[in-house]
Amino acid sequence: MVRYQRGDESAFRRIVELYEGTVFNLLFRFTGSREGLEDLAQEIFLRVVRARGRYRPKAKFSTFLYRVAFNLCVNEGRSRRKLRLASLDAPSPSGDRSPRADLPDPRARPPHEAVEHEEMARRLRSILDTLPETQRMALVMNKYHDLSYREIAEALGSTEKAVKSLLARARRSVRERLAPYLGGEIPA
Amino acid sequence: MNLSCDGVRDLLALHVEGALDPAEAESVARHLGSCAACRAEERLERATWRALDAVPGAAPPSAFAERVAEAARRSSRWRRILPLAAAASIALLAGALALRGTRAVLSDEEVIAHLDLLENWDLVSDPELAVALDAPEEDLLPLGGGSGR
Ligand SMILES: [Zn+2]
Repeated sequence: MVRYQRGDESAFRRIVELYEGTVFNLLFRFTGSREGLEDLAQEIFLRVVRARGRYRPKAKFSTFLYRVAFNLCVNEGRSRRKLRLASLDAPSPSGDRSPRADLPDPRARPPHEAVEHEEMARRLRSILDTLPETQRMALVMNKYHDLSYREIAEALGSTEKAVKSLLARARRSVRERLAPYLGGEIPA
Repeated sequence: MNLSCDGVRDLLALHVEGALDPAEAESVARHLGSCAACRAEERLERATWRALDAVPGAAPPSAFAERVAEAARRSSRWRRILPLAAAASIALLAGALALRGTRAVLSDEEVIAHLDLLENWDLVSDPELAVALDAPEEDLLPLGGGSGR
């Protein structure tokens, strides 16, 4: 009994270790918030275990993971955010192990550039937050996770055509909101 | 197809990605050839895409995987559904994985084989069924609170 528990746990833990970076990046860029991030990430992995019977062996595992993430974040996002997230057994993450921000080391840039970079990051964050959630998720998957239109369509349970139009709208919105700040940087 | 400036701007992101169908691509190219304002917008689109690099990601906290595995173990559902018959093979697999250590990242195929093994008591092989992840809520919520201890 002990041995089987150790066995299935280490198999599962291996999957978590392989994909935790992907999941945290996805969630943080989607939500823009560190609060509740670990609970959300944990819920995604627990669902992967529970939903594994619906996983198609022919599909990429990562696509399956993205689909679980999308369902949790967007399809159920609104109602779930009101509930306490479902870590019934696990203690709430305490402050000292909250996710580390993957911010660039400010010392790596000249001071004025570092300040500009941070301002740009803040500005982009607030622009991303104005996008409808499905657009935002599609954009994050496309920009930061290099997912193809087809893979995004699978994750969103949608079509490639719909994903293209979603991304086109998202990118137009971001571009038009960012335009006032990018004027000087565009080569003619 | 004659596109307005507004129509072109809807298509610019896909245009710079080369994702338009040939007819649309040609219409956009023709418009850009004669519209300086939309050409500026095209440059802005490329600059925006680069600017998005500034949005930071987040790294998992240390020992995250251990805590998730612990939460999975504690879930009563997890304990209830895992048949003892699968236990030995899972332990073997875990051992095989441990031998590989951390030097190679597992391929998707290996992870898949891995999940299949975990799943060999109720694998859904019908692709139609398999597509749906929208199982009943009670099936997806952790049951740790409900049944026993
Ligand atoms: Zn124009």
